[in-house]
Amino acid sequence: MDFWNIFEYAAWGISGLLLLWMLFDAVQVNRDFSEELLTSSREGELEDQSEKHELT
Amino acid sequence: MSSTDTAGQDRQRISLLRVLGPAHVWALGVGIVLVGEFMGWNFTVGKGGAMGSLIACWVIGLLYTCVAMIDSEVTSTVAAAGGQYAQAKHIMGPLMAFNVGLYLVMAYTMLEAADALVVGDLLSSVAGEMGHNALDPRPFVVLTIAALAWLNYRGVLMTLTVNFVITAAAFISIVVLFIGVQPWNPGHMLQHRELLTDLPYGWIGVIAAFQFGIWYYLGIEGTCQAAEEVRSPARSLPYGTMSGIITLLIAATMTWYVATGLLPWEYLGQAATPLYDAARVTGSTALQVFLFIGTTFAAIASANGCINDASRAWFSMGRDRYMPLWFGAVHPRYRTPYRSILFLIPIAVSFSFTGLLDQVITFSILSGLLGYTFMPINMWMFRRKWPLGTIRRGYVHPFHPLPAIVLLALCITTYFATFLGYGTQLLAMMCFYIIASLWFTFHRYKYVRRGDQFTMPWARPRGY
Repeated sequence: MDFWNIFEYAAWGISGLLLLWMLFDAVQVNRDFSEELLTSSREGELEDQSEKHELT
Repeated sequence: MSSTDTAGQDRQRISLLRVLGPAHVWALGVGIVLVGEFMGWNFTVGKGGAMGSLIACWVIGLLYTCVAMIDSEVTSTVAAAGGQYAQAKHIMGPLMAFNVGLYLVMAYTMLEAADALVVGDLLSSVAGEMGHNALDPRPFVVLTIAALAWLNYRGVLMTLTVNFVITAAAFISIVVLFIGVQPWNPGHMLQHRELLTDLPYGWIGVIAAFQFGIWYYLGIEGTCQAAEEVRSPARSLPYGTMSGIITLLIAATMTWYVATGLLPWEYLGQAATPLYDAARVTGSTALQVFLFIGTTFAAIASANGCINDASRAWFSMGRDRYMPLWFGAVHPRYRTPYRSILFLIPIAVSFSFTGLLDQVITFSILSGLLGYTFMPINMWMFRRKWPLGTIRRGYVHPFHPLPAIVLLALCITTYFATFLGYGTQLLAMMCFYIIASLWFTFHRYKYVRRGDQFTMPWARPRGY
């Protein structure tokens, strides 16, 4: 087994770890927070007053 | 995190994080595109010869300049994630919005898959040059997608800061190559006098080159997807988008100039990595290393930006119930559309596992082209429904309706060019979107809460 074979296995391994981390975190978030809160974002909520879409 | 809802009651809400500036917008737009300077654009040379490629570069550059101008005006007003999807929803209506959302998700996810394929293939070729001939590119394809998805999952600021650094490095590698071939000393390295020929296939070849001319700029319109995460959309989006298209016009012209001065058009027209090959011809190891790094960084930056953009478009469609609301969730700590990011990973991986780079990129280009065709119509309707002075615009593009007319004419010409080369794929793509539209109209639209999708404090459109 040369360097490139090890590199291939490492790539599979790291990919698996990253994907598992994201899945685990997503499951945890889904469990800890209500669906209503997670899906509560609204389009066009601008914090900066200068961005208002009305001419004054 | 908390805000007030429309009824005026205090209620906790989470939204995407507003942390980006014009540099991040530039990094998003240019990052997605720049890989097209390292590969793909050169198929224009195969269709129309070196001079035909330059005509395609500038004509399609004009198409994208119109796209950037129109997008800058509309998105500086419709500052919402989803970009052109949100624009279509407010200006044209739900069916157009659904289609535009789908164009965006398909275009970016397929481009992401193609970029990951490029990274895998580059590593395979490096392994081959070092004596290991059977390197499997698949683990590196998956690693590219997984690592970038993880970065996107963890937050938009780090994602686009990384994109800024690697995109700038890739752009600098083009500039270094340009300086390295001594353009002030023609005939020393650059052999334009010998290599530039007449149009080998006449003007029809030039028209055919238009479909690949899109590679020079495909994705600059992605800057709009950052609209809900920039600190000042009215300022940052036009700055980022317009500086992005200027960067790309410069990079595309430099790329053409260097490559056509070093490589004969017959070779250039079918090369896999033309800029890297150009660096090899110079005989400079330093330039070769620079261009290898530039090519890899450009592919990674493109995939990174595509994950960002596809997930925002999918998230927006979920939030409006054009897709299940479940996809409209925001991560409470990282403030990213985490479910959309996760959902699109297996789709991108399956596209890239097909290994059909040219087919995947063709479908991506066609989806992009459908999106550009919507823009001039959208622009006309936007100016008619909300004339200048009735709504605050961050940027007003000059010479309306000239950019819209030019854009529509160039889109029609590029459809013809695409039909010449990829007629079957064009028709298949049209059928796909027609079937998807029927599904949306007769099944999905009943789940959409029609009033809830319009939450911006806009003036009433003229005539309503």
